[in-house]
Amino acid sequence: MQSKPSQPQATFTRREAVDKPGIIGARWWNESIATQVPRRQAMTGLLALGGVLAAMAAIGTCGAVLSKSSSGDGSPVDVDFQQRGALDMQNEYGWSFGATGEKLVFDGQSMQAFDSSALSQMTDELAPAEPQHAPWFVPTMFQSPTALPKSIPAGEATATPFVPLRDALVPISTPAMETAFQQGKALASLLGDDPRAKDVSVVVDLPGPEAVAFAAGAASVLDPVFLFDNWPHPRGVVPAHLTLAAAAYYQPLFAKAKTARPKGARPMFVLDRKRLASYTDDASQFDNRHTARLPSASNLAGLGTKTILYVAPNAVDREPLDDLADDFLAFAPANIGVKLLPVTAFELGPAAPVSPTADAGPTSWSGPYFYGGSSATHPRFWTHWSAPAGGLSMNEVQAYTPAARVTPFSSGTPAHANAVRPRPASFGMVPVAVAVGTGVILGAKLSRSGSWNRTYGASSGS
Amino acid sequence: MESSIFAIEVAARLDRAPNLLPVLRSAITDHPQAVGLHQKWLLYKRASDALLGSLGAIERGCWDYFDDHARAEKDFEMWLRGMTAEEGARRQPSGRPDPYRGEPRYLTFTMTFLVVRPSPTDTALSRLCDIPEQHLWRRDVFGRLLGGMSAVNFASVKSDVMYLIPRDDDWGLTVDDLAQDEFHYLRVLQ
Repeated sequence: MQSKPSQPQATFTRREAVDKPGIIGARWWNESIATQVPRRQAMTGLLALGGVLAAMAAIGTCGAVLSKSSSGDGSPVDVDFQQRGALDMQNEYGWSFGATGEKLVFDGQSMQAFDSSALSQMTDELAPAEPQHAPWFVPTMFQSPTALPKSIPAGEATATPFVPLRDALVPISTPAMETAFQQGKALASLLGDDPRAKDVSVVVDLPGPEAVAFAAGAASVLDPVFLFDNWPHPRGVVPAHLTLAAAAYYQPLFAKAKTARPKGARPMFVLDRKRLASYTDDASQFDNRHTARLPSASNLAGLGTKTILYVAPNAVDREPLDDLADDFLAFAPANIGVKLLPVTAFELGPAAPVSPTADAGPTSWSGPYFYGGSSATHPRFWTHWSAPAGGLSMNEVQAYTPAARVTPFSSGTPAHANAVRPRPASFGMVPVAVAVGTGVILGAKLSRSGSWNRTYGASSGS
Repeated sequence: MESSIFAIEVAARLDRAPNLLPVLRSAITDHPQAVGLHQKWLLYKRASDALLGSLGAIERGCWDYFDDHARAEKDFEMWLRGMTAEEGARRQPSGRPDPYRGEPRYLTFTMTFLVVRPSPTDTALSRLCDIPEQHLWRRDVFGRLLGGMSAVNFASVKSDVMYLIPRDDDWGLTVDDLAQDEFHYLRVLQ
């Protein structure tokens, strides 16, 4: 049995309205405050309420009564669950909101020396070098290591002490990242000096750590523009902590490449392929998903883009995700072409050098990863680049014509600048416990230290 | 029960943000007669996100935060009167904005909250509005305020007002309209 507040859901009622060609508007009145305030006038502040709720948790009684507690004057405090923006809650209450004290799990932890103080430079060092790319950089994730909570949820005053993310983060280096790094280098070898690349913008859409590693590999030639618009969380739907840990591993390389790279480098927009990951259990997971914030077609054209090279995970999973569908539809009207490139088109080459084929011309690239798997096939990238789509395998670079898709993240119409993008109502939201009437946020619904979860458990067992 | 007030009004060029008007209008028209806290939060988020996305098109603005109860109640009525008395709204159409010729057209959008004090929302707004005087009218400050509005928990809002001038895109405000006394409080953003 789940406890429910006995009072009606707080609602606003429209009281005045005007609706004319020259003006439209309305005023609403919060009925719940109007009807409940007299009973709650004894509320003396957040600390008092938090103390009351902590006491309730300790008592641990059961049944529907447990959705309430007593305030200082003996009146009940009802708990309601509402949806709030995940990132907003993390900004306010810390990156580990609702899971303070829980540890992050890292695969492929790097054994190299690591100075966590360098994380405070991450936003600057991983920002684009080219000023015209700077407006599109999304620094959200790189701001998380040093961010501190602004306040403590009223119902979690006695929870485990907060640990800044920079003290919980360790760099990682996995075999998949190393492969992606080499594949990025191989692409850079093709785009570096070729005039056909002068009006190309690259979009890397790989799982977070591999996306970062690929960007690191290509950073000698391309200017990375990271678009990671979320924060890690111990129970995150998106394993953003791994992306951030990969960024920490390559941070010195990015910093060095930023100053060493020739001026005028083309942009490389970097996305986390897991940003729309599906999940079902908001009672145990934290919805830190986000959508891509790629520049609009007109903005890309303004950056001199005539071709988008979209780097996808493999020959099967190679189409843009749903949140990019409307963006891609807008490219053709803006005279921007699209090429798909499965990253697996770059394969580990043989140890011994192979003579280049006559049709493709020579290459000085020494690998170890090559387009097509050898130094002989490496220059065929440009042959395939110019070829019609038919006749090529799915694991080769080829032209792509986006099709309209109507999904929870796309309307099926070309996106334009400032377009409002569709997204599911609960996307990127987390349920929080709120004291009805006062609006005090008590904590995340998934929190183990929140009194609402304890009462739920007790009532279930009664 | 004490109150505080937060209000923000902006004037934006219609031709430089052609999608702004319908989005802001929908934030009003999608409000049902009785609306829940979360739905209301989403509708305000829609409006503030749209304004943030068109920050460059916002040329003038005004914002207030006062935690004095008497002033909050009085100013809320003043902001409300801006809507109910239709102050500033045109009496006849001005023609659709034309980006290539003719003078620009503007919209104004106003959001006002009468907030329970003390409450976390009041604390958040107080912190959000703690802006040095020399920066009050900077565009990035308006961006900060619009971005920070997601901290508003409507359970702590007694009453709110949202209105848009104009409703229809051929009733936009002209430069001369904005120069009238009704809009003297709108400052040019830096």
